Amino acid sequence: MIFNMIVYGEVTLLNIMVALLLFVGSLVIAKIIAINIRRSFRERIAREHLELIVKVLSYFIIVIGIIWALPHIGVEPSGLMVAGGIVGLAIGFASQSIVGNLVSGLFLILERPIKIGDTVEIDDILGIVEDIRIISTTLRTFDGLYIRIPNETVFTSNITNFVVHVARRFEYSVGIRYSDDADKAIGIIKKTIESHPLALHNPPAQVFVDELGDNSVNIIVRIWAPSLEWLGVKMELLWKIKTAIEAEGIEIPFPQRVHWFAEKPPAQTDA
Amino acid sequence: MDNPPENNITAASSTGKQAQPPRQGLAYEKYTLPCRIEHGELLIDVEREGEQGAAGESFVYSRKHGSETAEKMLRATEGYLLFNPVEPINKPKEITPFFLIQFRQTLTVKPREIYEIMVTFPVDIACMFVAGEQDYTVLDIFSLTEPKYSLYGTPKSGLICRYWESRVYPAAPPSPDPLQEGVMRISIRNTTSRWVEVTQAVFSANEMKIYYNQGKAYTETYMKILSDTSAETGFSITPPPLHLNLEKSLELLAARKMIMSEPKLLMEEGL
Repeated sequence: MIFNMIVYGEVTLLNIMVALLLFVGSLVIAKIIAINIRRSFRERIAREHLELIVKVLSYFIIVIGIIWALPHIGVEPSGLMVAGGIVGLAIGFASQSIVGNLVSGLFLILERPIKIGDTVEIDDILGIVEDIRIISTTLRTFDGLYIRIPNETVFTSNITNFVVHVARRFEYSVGIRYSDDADKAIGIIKKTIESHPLALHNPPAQVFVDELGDNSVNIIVRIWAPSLEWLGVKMELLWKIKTAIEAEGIEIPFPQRVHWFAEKPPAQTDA
Repeated sequence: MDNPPENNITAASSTGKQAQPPRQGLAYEKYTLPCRIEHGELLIDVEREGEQGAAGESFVYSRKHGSETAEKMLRATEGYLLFNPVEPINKPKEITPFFLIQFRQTLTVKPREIYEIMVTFPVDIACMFVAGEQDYTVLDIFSLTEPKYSLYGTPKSGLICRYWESRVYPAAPPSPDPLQEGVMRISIRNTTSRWVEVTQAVFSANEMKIYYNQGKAYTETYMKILSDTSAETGFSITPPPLHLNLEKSLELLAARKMIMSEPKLLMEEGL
């Protein structure tokens, strides 16, 4: 048969055809997987990141196909692997952090704990996400600094995303004198909160006496605001609460201490 | 748009700045320039700067409303102001396209029944400078109501909404101030086989259509109840009956957005 015809060495025409089939098959599989990945993740992953993932996966599949095809045409990949192994080991050691960052970057892109524009805290750095690249993530801090964080650090750190939920709560502690009417103060504080458009109506604000402190009766004020606006609301409302309760004769006391003397202190005399 | 009627014309200065006699009361109508409008705490003043017909002729628009002020210079020689009721999501700043109407009375809807109810909804007011047919710009947006926002649903999956409370009326509500609130007809259809209680309605203002005349702002909506806790809401695309004698207001959101947005909203966080 023509398929058993020796082409070179021990390699027959059939071997060459099988090798070709494996190579072409790997190309076709890589193409199909690329199309499906693009279709499935088009909405979830940024275009440039998606293309990078598709390329890495496609090349990986094609390399597997080539390694599978090589023995059929008389090339033993084990020999190549021994030769390449030493080089690979050296490159591997040199590039382990890059590979770590790359893999972390892929997981970050897929898991998406943060998005561009989110306000986040990563590894004790607070800022707005400027970009998520395949190796690193960049933040712009609130004092205008550019900070590049390797993706491995991002992936293994605790991430606090301040805007992933649409609303968030903040809290004040307002101290009033023991002689003041706490119910009246609570009423004034609630009214002040109600008058602020971005202090959310629902969930309702919580205002209650939390502690009978050393120097004051401490009222806790918990307010919900839209996540993108909470800082502005927090900055505005505290002063409004302070002026509103003071306008009604309720004062925020200074630290004070009552001294008791064992004996009556001597009367002061004019010099 | 039509030419302004003569009785709206305030004497126009042809020689530079001249104080206009104030006109009491704001309405959804046309005002020739220059003009001065007083409406409670609201004061709108448009003065001509420079010689009429000379190079550099312009108008200066200013608005005072409580502590809020706005001022704009307009490089134009001819045109008039037009006030329109617009989507209630602009004040104090645009943070969401959604608004929620909380019913003061719970509405209980019979299985497979269609009800029509009337509620009120808040309106913002857009001040437009109209230079000619389809040639206009929005100069300013303000509100004569105090805006308040709320969360519909949970912080994780809910929506930040402009909040408004309204009684439920079987017919048109008794003469609401059209500069503060409009009349909304809601066609409620219970598609389930159970009685369902409805306490609120959430709408996306993206496709909101408001119609108006000098005495009324009006919109038509629907709510299709899908289960005890979910419903679909949206705006009617058919214009209101001719006998109501209403004009279509400017759609601010639709004008800003180039892409088509989803006309329906799915209320999945409870009724």
